Amino acid sequence: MDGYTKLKLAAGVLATVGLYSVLYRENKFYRFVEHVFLGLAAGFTVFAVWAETLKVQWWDKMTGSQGEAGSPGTPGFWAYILLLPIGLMGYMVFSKKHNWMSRIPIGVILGFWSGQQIQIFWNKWGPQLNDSMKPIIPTNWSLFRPDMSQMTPEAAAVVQNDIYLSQAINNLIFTFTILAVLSYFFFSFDLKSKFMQTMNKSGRWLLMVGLGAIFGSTVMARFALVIDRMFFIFVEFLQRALFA
Amino acid sequence: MSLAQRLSSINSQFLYLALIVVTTIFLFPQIKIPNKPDQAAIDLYVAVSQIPADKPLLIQSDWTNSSRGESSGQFEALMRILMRRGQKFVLYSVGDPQAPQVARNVIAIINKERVDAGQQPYLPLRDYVDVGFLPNAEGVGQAMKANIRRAFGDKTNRGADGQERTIWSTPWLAQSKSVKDFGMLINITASSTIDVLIERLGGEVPLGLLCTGVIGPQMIPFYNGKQLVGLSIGLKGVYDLEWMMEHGVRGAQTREVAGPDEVVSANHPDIKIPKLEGKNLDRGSKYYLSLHAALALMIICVILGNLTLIGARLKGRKA
Repeated sequence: MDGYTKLKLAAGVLATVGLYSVLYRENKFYRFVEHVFLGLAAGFTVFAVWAETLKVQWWDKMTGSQGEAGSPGTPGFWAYILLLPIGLMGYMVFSKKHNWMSRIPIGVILGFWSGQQIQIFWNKWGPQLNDSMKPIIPTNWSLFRPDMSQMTPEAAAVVQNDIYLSQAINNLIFTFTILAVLSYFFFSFDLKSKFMQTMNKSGRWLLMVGLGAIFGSTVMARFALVIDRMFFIFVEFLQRALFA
Repeated sequence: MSLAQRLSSINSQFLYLALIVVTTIFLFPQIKIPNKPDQAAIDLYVAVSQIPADKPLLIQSDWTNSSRGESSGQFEALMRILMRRGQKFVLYSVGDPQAPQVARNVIAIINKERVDAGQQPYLPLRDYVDVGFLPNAEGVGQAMKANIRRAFGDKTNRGADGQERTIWSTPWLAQSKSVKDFGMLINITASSTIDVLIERLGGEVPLGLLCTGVIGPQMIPFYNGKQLVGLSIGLKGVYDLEWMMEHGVRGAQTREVAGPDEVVSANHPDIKIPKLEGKNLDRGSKYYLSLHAALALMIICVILGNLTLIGARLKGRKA
């Protein structure tokens, strides 16, 4: 491994230690690394937006190119310059006198966005609404679906389509959970009936169960970040780069 | 001071230190942890493995180093699967300007691995194209649906011969006129960019997802609603993919005795996907033991914390 790569890794280790030092207490080293990180991220974003998007999609098309030896040039489409003032109008939101101008590009964007919402709603939620309609009456009263590994494809297809008791119970729990959780969000009127109060309370408990499961997955993600950083310091840097 | 009081007064900094020590120690033992991949991850693996070789893939890589622990392993596994199948793909990002560069870094690592193993590296234009960063996920999704060629514009890549050429000059993209001409769109993300894809491109092209543990649970309804053909969540998802690459997948009705550790798919009765040759177990396998150790530490702390609390309450009642 060459010296430059080692230096790069060492900088990464210093930054990692610096950022984790906040776990001990707030300190200047942490603040320094945090500001370096934010500065780099902001700088890189500006560069990436220009180099990967604006230059290729806008500037190069607008200015065209001169032909090199043996190849013809491309003409510039100067009408693209009109996009600049339209974009800049958005920044007029900071001017008290001219902030009305910012409403024009924002209004156009909102108009497009609103027009897309019906399609978006059905694309996103339609299949889930459909999937929520689950059969709760079993078509086969055996508790579990049998092992299909030794069945003919025809027999397996019949078994696959049957609703077994365990599946029906599962679907019933699912349906009850949906109804109970929805009833928890009835804020507009007073829930006086005993049935609705029970559903409301069940919804709250079931929501907690769901949030607990989400928390478990979130913790796994956070641990993965720590593990990766430790792998970087102790394996990628110390073991493979420094003491290889 | 009683044990309960001592436990309840442990400084949080001590817990952070314990977590760092435990995760670090368990990075070194080479222990293969038994695994049963999730059906969602199996579905994703099978879907990717069954894409016709002549149909290119769209890969929307929206992860950065902020989720490297999970997303990097997912992206590495995906790249290994695609490169070993010789699958062509179009790589682009909408989630973060840093995303294209981290994806390029991973491709460079996998390419070095391939060269060291005596294989051909995956090269821009010949094997894949790199569209780079396209800002505004909603706008890009809508533009892709309307006209994918215009959405990606005249982006160019430098080929192996050093010539800069437009991505649409590649022969394997000649037939790709709309998003429906692609075999699949796979999103690797730590944010809600997949929501935008489902909203804009749902039903146009099969969608696959490799996401972090944070957003994983809210993605399960999309998989259940068949809006996603498959789903790999977090570090467990990485290990699932590596496990299937290492051991292969077969259908529940192939009438063969499953090999040791071979994965059996309930949703695909008669498939047989053999194990992939080469390096399969990597980041997921290396991190999985540490993850278990960290989770064990957390569970112990939660139990101790609750016992301490109960003990203190009981003592308070007696007093």
